[in-house]
Amino acid sequence: MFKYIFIPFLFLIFSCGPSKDSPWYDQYQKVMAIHDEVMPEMGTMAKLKKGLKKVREENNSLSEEQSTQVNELITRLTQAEDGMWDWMHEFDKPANNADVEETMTYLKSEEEKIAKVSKDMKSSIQDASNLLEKLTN
Amino acid sequence: MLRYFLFCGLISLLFLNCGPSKTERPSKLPIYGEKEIVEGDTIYHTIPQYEFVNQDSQAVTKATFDGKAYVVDYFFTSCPTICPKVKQQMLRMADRFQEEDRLKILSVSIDTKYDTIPRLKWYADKLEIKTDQWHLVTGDKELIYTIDEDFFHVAEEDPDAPGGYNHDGRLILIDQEHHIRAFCDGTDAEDVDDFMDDIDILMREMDGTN
Repeated sequence: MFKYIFIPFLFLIFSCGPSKDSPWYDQYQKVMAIHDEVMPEMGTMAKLKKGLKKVREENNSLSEEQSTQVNELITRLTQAEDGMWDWMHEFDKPANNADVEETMTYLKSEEEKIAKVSKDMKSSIQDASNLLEKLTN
Repeated sequence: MLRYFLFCGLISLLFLNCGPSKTERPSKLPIYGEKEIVEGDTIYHTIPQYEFVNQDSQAVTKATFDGKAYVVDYFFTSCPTICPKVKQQMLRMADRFQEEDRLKILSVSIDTKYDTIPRLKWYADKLEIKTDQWHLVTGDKELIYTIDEDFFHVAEEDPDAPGGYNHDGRLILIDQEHHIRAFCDGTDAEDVDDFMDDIDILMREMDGTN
């Protein structure tokens, strides 16, 4: 269920985008596509973090190494999640009459930033899922 | 033969007209969620306790809405621009029910990092939202993500809930006893029209005139 609360906001971002006539429309869509692929996973991250915290509180037989892994992954999930919120907060939708060259440069740098956010989210989700499965089975 | 076709056509038309239309509203709203029978009484699902803080730094709890109906939605202010569709629909609803003291709106921000109280205040001022009608709230992240299941998941699991419902931009109607009574896609103007009719049905129920 966690992921559902994030799905509507894909629509919000897309629907507020520049017109199709903008010279940077394709580049803008590229940035948004990366965002939209991972945004619903914000809920997955919240769920994993909750699961790891539960293990930390309830599983008394965790080794020191396992405890460290749990803590590290909680931190990584938090950082990845913050990365997405930071990106969304800082992202400026280009105005339709903005300078083409500047806007393309801006959107390309945003593509790099959101790709990094995506990578951090996916890797933390993967690692947290693996660890959680290992510790709960 | 012609008579046969005319007869079949007429019967088909009758059946088509009997199908549920999107705008057809029930005379009484259902109560969504799991039901329990205790000593012969039916106990319906209710929203659990929660505590948020609104744009004016006031605590907003379940008790804030005792005796009132309210609409719940999830949002965050840093959508690159304020989505015209959702904003329009929510404002349209707030405008239609501005004189109705028994209906409130609870908008829960899912961005606990940036949607601080001053930021919610800024957003409320920008949309000219009045606190006595519309609470924009923040709170404990885990609570926000957990209570979502009570607000939204219940309707989805209920066998009486309309099928094929998607989760985009949902609005939920809660009654004066904290039961979920209706929901809609808040980005769809027609769906919101139906939802506002559902609110009217609930208001009549509260009046005892339904």
